[in-house]
Amino acid sequence: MSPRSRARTTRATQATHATRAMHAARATIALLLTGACGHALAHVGGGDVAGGFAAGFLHPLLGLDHVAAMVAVGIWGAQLGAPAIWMLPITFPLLMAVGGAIGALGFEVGGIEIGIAASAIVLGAMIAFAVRLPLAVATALVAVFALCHGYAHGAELPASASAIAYASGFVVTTGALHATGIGFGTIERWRRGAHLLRVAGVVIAVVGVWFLLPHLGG
Amino acid sequence: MRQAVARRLVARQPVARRLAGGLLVPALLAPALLFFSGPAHAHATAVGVGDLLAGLLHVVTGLEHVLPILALGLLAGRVRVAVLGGWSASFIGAFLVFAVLGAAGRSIVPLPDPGTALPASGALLGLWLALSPRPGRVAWIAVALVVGALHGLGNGQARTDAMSLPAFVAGAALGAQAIAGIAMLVADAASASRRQAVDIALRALGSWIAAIGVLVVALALR
Repeated sequence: MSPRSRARTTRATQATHATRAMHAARATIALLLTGACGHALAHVGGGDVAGGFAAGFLHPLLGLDHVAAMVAVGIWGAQLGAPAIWMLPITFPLLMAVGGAIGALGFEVGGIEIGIAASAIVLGAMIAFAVRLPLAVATALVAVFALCHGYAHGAELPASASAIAYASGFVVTTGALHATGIGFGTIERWRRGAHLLRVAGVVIAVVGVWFLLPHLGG
Repeated sequence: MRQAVARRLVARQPVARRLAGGLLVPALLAPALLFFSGPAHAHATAVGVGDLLAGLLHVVTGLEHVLPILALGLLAGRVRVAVLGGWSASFIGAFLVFAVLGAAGRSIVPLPDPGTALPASGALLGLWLALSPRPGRVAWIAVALVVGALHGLGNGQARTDAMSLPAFVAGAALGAQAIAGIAMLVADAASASRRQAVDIALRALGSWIAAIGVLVVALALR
């Protein structure tokens, strides 16, 4: 056997061993997971930490208007570049929390749903037309929209879940959606990428219009 | 010759694949056994270890403590001030003193309401991390003292009469120092790279902690 074919055989044997080991490892992981399972406590109440975190984490993801607007904040920030790329996603959670506090404390504010739909329309349009507003104006705009989104969530915060776990899940998802937008927005450096971002802006604005229509009817 | 070729091939493989060949399965089986084990009904040989762990776990499993102390540690690491020795000693010193007072059922300064005061400290520290102003040494020490005292009192008051006071307080202080110390080291190491992404990540984390603090305070007040 030539040294080359010998090496090939050795490599094939090692690959087989590695594959077997990986199968065994997967089986072990499956076993480990069954062992780690606790009781299925199917409720969120009573200051439940894990359930509260999950409820908060999922809450912003379950409304397409929220998702579109939060991703749009990240994309617009990336489009505008530094310092907007970090200023907008930092402003949003802070003001969203203030809006959430206003909602949780029970203050009545009208037209919030229109504000949320408008946020997707305006931010989508900013991305679609690649509008370069001054930083202060862009930040103020995002701050107003963040108040609307926060208020809507704050008014819906469940009383039963662990407050801090719910708030943590809620804020982490918001940040993750911004990060998604920023990550997507980095394709701006390529010509086709910049075009694609504009198309994404149109899609976001259309989502906003879709959510605005029921409120216009009366 | 054949062995040399085989050795070279093994050396060229990624570490993960080499591990898959030998160490991965035993490494996974060991924690699997831990999950299947039941509670140990024997008692610990070292008396008080349970209370020490109770104190430690009270800090590290309570987000109302973890988030503000994390923000404080990240701030210290980010600013990389030359007063870190004094800062660290002030924080843990105040924590210990007020934890003992809280655990003994006495307090120089009554804790207004743990449900609002602790998350409010997180909101302020998170905001500080997000905006990152750079105050002087005196302000640094003052903040470390206030945060240490507040969270020391909050933790001390969680002790029940059945728990040993020194063990519980020592465990809580250990947990608080671990969170602040690890956060400080991580932020310091990350800031040393002077990358803009690190600055953004720390500011974003600050805004998250602040947002959580504001929401929790509002929920406690409603």
